Amino acid sequence: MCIPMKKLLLIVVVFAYVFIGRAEQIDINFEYPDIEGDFYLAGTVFFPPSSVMSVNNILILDTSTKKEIASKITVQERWPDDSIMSVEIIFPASSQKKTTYTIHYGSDIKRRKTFSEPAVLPTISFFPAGAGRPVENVDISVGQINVRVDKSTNIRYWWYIVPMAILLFLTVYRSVRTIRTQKL
Amino acid sequence: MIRISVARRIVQIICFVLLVYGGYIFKDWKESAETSQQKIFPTLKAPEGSVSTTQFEKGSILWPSGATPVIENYPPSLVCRFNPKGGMFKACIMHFLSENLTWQTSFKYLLPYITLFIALCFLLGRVWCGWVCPIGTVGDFLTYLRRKMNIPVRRFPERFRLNLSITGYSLMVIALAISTVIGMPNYARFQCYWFLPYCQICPARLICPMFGLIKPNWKDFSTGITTCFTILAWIVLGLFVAAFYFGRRVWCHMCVVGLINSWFNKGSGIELHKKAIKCIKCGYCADACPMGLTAMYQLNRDAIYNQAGCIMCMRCVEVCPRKGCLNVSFFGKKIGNMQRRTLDAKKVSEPVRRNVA
Ligand code: SF4
Ligand code: SF4
Ligand code: SF4
Repeated sequence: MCIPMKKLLLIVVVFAYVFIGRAEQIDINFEYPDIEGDFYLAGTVFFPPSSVMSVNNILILDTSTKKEIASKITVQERWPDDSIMSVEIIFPASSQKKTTYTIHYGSDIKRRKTFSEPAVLPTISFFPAGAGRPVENVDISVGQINVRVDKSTNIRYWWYIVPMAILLFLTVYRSVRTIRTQKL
Repeated sequence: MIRISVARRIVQIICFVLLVYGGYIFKDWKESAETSQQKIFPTLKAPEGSVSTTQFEKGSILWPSGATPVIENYPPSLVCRFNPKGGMFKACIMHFLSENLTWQTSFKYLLPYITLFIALCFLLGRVWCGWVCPIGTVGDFLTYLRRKMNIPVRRFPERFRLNLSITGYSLMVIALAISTVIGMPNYARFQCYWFLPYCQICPARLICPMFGLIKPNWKDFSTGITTCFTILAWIVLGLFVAAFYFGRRVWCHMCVVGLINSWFNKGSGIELHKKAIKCIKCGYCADACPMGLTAMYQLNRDAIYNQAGCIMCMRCVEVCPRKGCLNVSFFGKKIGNMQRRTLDAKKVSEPVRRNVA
């Protein structure tokens, strides 16, 4: 394999690394209500910037059966890069089958089960545990002015500097070589 | 083996159909393409207080018909935002740069788009111009009509071609400067007239909708500025069409997207090689070149003869009568034998030599 081909391979590897998908998990806390039968679990979940672009990248898993639970997910707020900041999630649960649930999100996740018209059932709130809180923003209220300091670095996008620099370097290197052959 | 010029025509037609009618063909794909794209590329949107094409009303120059493209990305050829049903891709790189300078989008959000653009240019150079660009294809079709009408082609002097490039670069600088200035808060009120200044006069804005089976926005005489843009757009389109009755690919010397692509031509993966010892100085290569380039004819040593103006159509390789004299390779690996002619040096007509010289 010639040297430029090796370099090309290197670029492909770097690209693959940058483009690689990610998946994260959030546990949810709730208490089973004193009611018989089915009910809905509902709650608001926050995500870090650039982590979730579509509601189809979020799913609910029953931890005992490892099966996806049908859910209705509504976007509430978005980050400036259009990624999702917060969503409202509602999904069915039952007092007869006690289990725990986790929320999975990220570009690797594909939600398959949805429902849009929930039946009339009691709704219990859940609270996401740990990860996913929007710590990237600080809201400061200065009298009548509200200042939002965006602490997010969105490092994911800065990674593109690496393949871009390599490509530019290779272009310049190869251009100089071409010009030399023409001038010899 | 299929002739390279035939292969190019087939690719051009396929790309034209995809780029201009992609919105019709792949309308069911739009949603899944959007989700996949969002994994890698941030969605770029006008911030509060800035205009975006979607706000322009029917009848205004910048009305994009409300249709969204299948893929919100920017390939290195003149694909047009003002395509009626939304083409395969969103727009050209000039649209991308102008829009985001006005929106003052953070550089980090532009990085994935710029990196992809550079990667495509690095891999294929101006193959995007010679084989993919719909406006280039329309130009080649006009050239075909001219040939059918037996109108002789004219070779423009080097100086004229240089002036066209200078005009193109000037347009680029002016358009990007205007886009930057109207992005500043003090001048934001001018955005409704000066937004995407290059797109307002680009011939693709009128040609793509015409092929997309919709009446383009030919005129907007509502204000002085829009009237100026309307008249400028007519002049540019008129020159674009008229130029094909004199020469080949005249517009491509001053096309801003082509000029940006040309920065990558000498370093791109596609290499055009000349073996000087085999050259008989017949002049067929220079005579066939739609961009009027002569380096491959003039070079008297073995060289990679990629030039900034070359659109990688490979006509020169195809018409060269000397086997192995001109070759194409991809990162040093030779691509097939593209020669069509096998001519005796004695049979080379003197007019060809004279024409090139
Ligand atoms: S230079 Fe010609 S072929 Fe290239 S993008 Fe511009 S119009 Fe298309
Ligand atoms: S130099 Fe050859 S490949 Fe380039 S534009 Fe001219 S004929 Fe086409
Ligand atoms: S067509 Fe081939 S042989 Fe003729 S001048 Fe060009 S490179 Fe030389």
